[in-house]
Amino acid sequence: MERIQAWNPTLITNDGVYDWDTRLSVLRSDLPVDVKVVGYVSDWDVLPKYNYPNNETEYVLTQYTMAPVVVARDDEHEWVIVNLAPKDFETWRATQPSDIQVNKYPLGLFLVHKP
Amino acid sequence: MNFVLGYLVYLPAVLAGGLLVHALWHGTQPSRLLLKLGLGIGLGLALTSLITFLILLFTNRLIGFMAIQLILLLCGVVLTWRNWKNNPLLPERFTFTRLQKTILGAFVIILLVTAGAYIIYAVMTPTGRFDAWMIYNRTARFIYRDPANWQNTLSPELYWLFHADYPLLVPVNVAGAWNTLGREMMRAPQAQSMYFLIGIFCVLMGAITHLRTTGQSLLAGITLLAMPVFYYTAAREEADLTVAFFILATLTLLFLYSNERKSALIVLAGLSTGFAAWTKNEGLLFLVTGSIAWLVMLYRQSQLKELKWYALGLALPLAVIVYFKLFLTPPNDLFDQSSSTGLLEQLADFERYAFIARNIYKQIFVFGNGELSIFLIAVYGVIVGLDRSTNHSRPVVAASIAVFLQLAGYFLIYLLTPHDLDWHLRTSLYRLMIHIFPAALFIFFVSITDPETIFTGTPKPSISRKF
Repeated sequence: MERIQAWNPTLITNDGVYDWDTRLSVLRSDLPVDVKVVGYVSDWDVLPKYNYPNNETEYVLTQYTMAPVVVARDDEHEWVIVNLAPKDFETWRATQPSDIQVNKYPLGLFLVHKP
Repeated sequence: MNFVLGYLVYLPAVLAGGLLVHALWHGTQPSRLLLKLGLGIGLGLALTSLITFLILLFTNRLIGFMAIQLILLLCGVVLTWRNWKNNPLLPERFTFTRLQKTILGAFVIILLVTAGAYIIYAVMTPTGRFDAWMIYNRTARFIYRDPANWQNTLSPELYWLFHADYPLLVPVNVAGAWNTLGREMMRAPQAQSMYFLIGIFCVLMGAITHLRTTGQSLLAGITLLAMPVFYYTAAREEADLTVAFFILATLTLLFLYSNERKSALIVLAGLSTGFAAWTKNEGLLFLVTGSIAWLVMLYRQSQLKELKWYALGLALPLAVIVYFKLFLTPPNDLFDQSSSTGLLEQLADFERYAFIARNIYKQIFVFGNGELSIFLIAVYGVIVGLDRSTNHSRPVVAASIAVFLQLAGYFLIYLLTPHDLDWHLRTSLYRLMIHIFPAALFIFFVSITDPETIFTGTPKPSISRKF
C-alpha cells in the first residue's frame, strides 16, 4: 500500500535520459561553441574493477547529450569530460600535466581544459 | 498531443507511398489495397529519407522534409486521379464466412490487448532505448543540431559502439521530422517505428489473404501479435523493424510477381532491397541475399531478362549507398578491429560454432518475449501439413534461400566478430531474428494448410482471390 501511495505518475515517463541531459546541461553550456571533439574519462580508464554496463550506458548517454560534439573515448583532446568520483578524479589528475584547468560540477563530473 | 504530432509529421509520406504503389500496381481487392498501403508506408518513408539525404549532402542544409512528402503526395494524388476510371481507389465488397468471423474476433481481441500494452510501454519509453540513444537518435541530433557540419556524425573519432558507418534512412527522417516540428520531439521516431510495424502487418496479412485465404492471414497476424518483441521494438525507436519490413516486402513481391508477372512489382522489389541496405548494415547483407532470391526465381521461371526492372528499382538507393560507404563513412568496426590471423583462428575454432549454434537454438524457444515460441509455431505447421493445392508455392524455394542465407550471414558475422562473442550474441541476436521473422512467417503461412481447408474440407476463396 505504501508503494502505491508513493507512486508518482510523472515518473513513469522518466527513463534516465532526461536526468542525464540535466546533469550535463551546465557543462555543455561551459564548453566553447567551436569545440567539435572532446575526450571522455570514466571508471573504466582508472579503476581496475568497474561496472561495465554502467560505464557503457553513461558514456552513450554522454555522447547522446553532447551531440553534435564528438565524445571520443580517450583523454588526448584539449577538452576532456571526466566522469569520476572525486577520489578517483584525483588519481587520474595525478597522471596529467599540472597546468590543466578543472571545472567541477555536482555528482562527480568534471570538465578539464588542457592549455 | 505529441503522440499525434509524431504520426502526422510522417503521414504525407505514408499516404504518398500508398498512392504511388496503387498507381504502379492496379487492383481494388481489399487485400490488395491493404498490401499496397503496407508497401507504401515503407516506400514512402524511405523515398523521403533518400531525397532529404541528397539535399543534405549537396547543400549541407536540412530543408524540405515536409515539402518532399507533399510533392510525393501530390504525385500520388494526380496519378490516382488520372487512373480513376481503370483503377479506382474504392475497395470491392467482401464478406466473411462464419469461420473467418470467428478468427477475426480472436484477432481483434488480441489486437486490442496488444495495442493497450504498446501504449503503456510507449508512454514509459519516451526517448526510446539504448540503440536509439547510441545510433539513430544520436545521429539525428548531429544532423538536426548542426546541419552545416552534419558529417561529424560519421567522424572516425566516434567510438565504434556508435556505429558511425550505419546508413541513414531512420536518422534522416527523424532529423527531418524534428526540423519540421521545430524541436526534438521523441514521439516522432517512435511513430516512425510504429509505421514500419503497421507496414509489416499490412504486407504480411494483405499478401497472405491475396495468395491464400483470409483465415490464414488472420492466423499469421495473430502469431505476430503474440510476439511482444515487435511492439517493444517499435516503442524503442530502433531500426530493426525497418529492416524486417523491407526483407518481408522484397520476398513478398517474389510471390506477387510469380502470380501476375507485372514489371512494376520487380521495380518495387529492387527499391525495397535497396532501402533495406539504406537502413542498416544488415540490410547490406540482404542486398546480396535478396538479390540472389530474385535471381533464382527469375532463372527458374526463365524470366532472367526481367532483371533489368530489378536493377532499375535498385539503382538510386544503391548509388547513394555506394557513395555513402566509399566516400563518407569510417570503416566498419567488425572489419577495422580484425586481423587476418585472428579471423583464421576464429574460423578454425569449432567451439565458437557450437556456442553460436547453442544461442540460436535457445532463441527458437525464447524469441518474441511471449508465450508463443517458434517451436510451437513449427509444431502447428507439422500438424496441419503443407498445402499443395495451388501454384503459390513456386517462389518458396527462392524466398527460403534468402532467409537461410541471411541467417548464415549473421552466423558468419558472429564467427568473425572481433568483440566478445557472448556480449555480441546477447545484445544483438534477438534483433537479427526480428529482421527475418516476419518474412519467415510469411513463407510459413503461405506454405501450410489454411484453416478454411481444415474445417470445411475445401478452401474458401479469400476476399480477393476472385480476380
